Amino acid sequence: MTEALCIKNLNVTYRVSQGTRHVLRDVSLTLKKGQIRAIVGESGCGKSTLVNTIISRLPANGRIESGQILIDGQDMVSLKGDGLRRMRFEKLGVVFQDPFSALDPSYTVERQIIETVNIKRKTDRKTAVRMGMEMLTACGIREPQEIMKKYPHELSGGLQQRVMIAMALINEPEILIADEPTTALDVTVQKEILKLLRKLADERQLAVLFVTHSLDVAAMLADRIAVFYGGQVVEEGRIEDIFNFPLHPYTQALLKTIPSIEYGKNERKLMPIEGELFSFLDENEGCCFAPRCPYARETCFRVSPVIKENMGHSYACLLEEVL
Amino acid sequence: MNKTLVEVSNLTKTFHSDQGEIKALDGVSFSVSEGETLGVVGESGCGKTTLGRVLAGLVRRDEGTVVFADKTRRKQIIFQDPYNSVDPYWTVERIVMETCNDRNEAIQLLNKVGLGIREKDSYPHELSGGQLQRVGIARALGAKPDFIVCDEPVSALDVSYQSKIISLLEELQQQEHLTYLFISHDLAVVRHIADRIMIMYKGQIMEIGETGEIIKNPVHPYTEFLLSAVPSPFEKKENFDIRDDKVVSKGCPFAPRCPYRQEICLQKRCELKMHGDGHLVACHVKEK
Repeated sequence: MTEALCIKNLNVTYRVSQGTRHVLRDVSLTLKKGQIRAIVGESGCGKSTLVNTIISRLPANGRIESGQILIDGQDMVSLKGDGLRRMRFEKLGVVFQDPFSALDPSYTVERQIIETVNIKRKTDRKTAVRMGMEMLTACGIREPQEIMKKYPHELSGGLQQRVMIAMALINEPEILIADEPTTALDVTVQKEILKLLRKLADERQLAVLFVTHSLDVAAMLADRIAVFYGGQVVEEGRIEDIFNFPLHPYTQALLKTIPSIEYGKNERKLMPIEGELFSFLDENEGCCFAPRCPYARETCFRVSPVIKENMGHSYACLLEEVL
Repeated sequence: MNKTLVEVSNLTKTFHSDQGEIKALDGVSFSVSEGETLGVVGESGCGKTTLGRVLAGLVRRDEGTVVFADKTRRKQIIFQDPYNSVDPYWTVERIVMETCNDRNEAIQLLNKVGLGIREKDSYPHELSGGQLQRVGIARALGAKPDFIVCDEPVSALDVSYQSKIISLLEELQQQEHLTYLFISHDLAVVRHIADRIMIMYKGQIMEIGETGEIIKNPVHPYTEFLLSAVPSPFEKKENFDIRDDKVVSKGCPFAPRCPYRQEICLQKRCELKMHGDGHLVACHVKEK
């Protein structure tokens, strides 16, 4: 499998009134064709900043300090204007959390799809409509003619999200970025959307970057998981490794804090993670999780951990072995 | 079994909209025992929030009865979105004082939910979602309730705050002998906190019973369908194929999607029937 997306040592900062926040710290990730990679973390861990950086949509106070975002060998960071625009509509498709606010409420689905098609190629209306119908069908919509004539508010949340996915894929991107695409949906609808993403990745060799706060959803869908904390990738590996042998104390704590369908009342006590989320203001050296880590030693507050890797499973922790 | 705290029978509530009538509650009957947690699960639009609001006295019912064990019983509600359930111009202390008598009591209540002097003069926007949900819990406790409707109290929170609020609710239940109606769409959370689970679909109860029993041995096809959709890393679940037929059902509301459907399901509504010890199921096909 070849790499569709390669992020190398990405550093991003936000300027705020209190100073500078270092929100992405040396993030390196790869995404292969046909692979689904989940980015998992709590709010404020930097996962949405990563998405916004990849699609060059950082807010005005955000700045890429260093690093590369390579798509097909082309560095997105160095691109500007038309080159960037071309890169975005040719290579990237994006699906956001809330389909209703991402779709235009005053346009029919058909009009929005035609507009999207025409960004890449100037075609006549008929061809655009035909392409739209095909794509809606591929996204599991059974009556595309009917859906095309409708306005977003006339569709259910699941259908809206399918329309969003169809629009993201209509220009045949290589990479689909999905930022919490199922969080606003019911579990039963969520499952349908996850199945659809899996099918698209397999059939079209689409590379999917799937951002979620739920480890369980990531486990259901993804090939690999990257766990984010404090703007860093603290652990990265295959699904089985992350769940069966979590190595970073944060991942271990996260797994103990989630209620599971496997355990009933009084069968398992939830272990909340003590302390507050990492504030990006402290420019202290050391591990970002150290203040909340039950295993933290004195060195953890001084020395930043280096990423250790063993058989495709990597983690950033100073301790030799954490059980 | 403890004695019954609240007995609900034949509750109905219909909302009228441009698209016609929506039966949010359609003949719902159940009871909640003292000190237990009854989880209510279902997809959006199944009527679970309406049920909570009717029980908390915020929405008037159309028909049916809600009878508490004795008239002195007090009820309260905790809402899903903590930011939208408090006045943004009020300090935390004033929010809590809405239900209790004086400042000392307000501070005691705040301490009870894990907040302190530091937060009492804060305004809602200065607190995190988890902290604000604690304020909502303190406000509910101020009325010294016996029965609390928890309407998706952790859905809007991050995972690390979720477990703290769940643990807090569990502790408070022990200390204050509370009874909860815990509404959630998240089966894993309900599995963790509830003694019994009630599964709702389109305003009707599909299945009700002891939590472990429902999760391990679901009987109703809709329960099976819901469980098959719960993401879990531990096992790859078998697919549960439902249909999506355009048929009108005068009987079971799930019939148009049910793979086990028979003719009778479309014609006649199935009442809840005993399937085991305290396990009730409304299904023509799967009945014993």
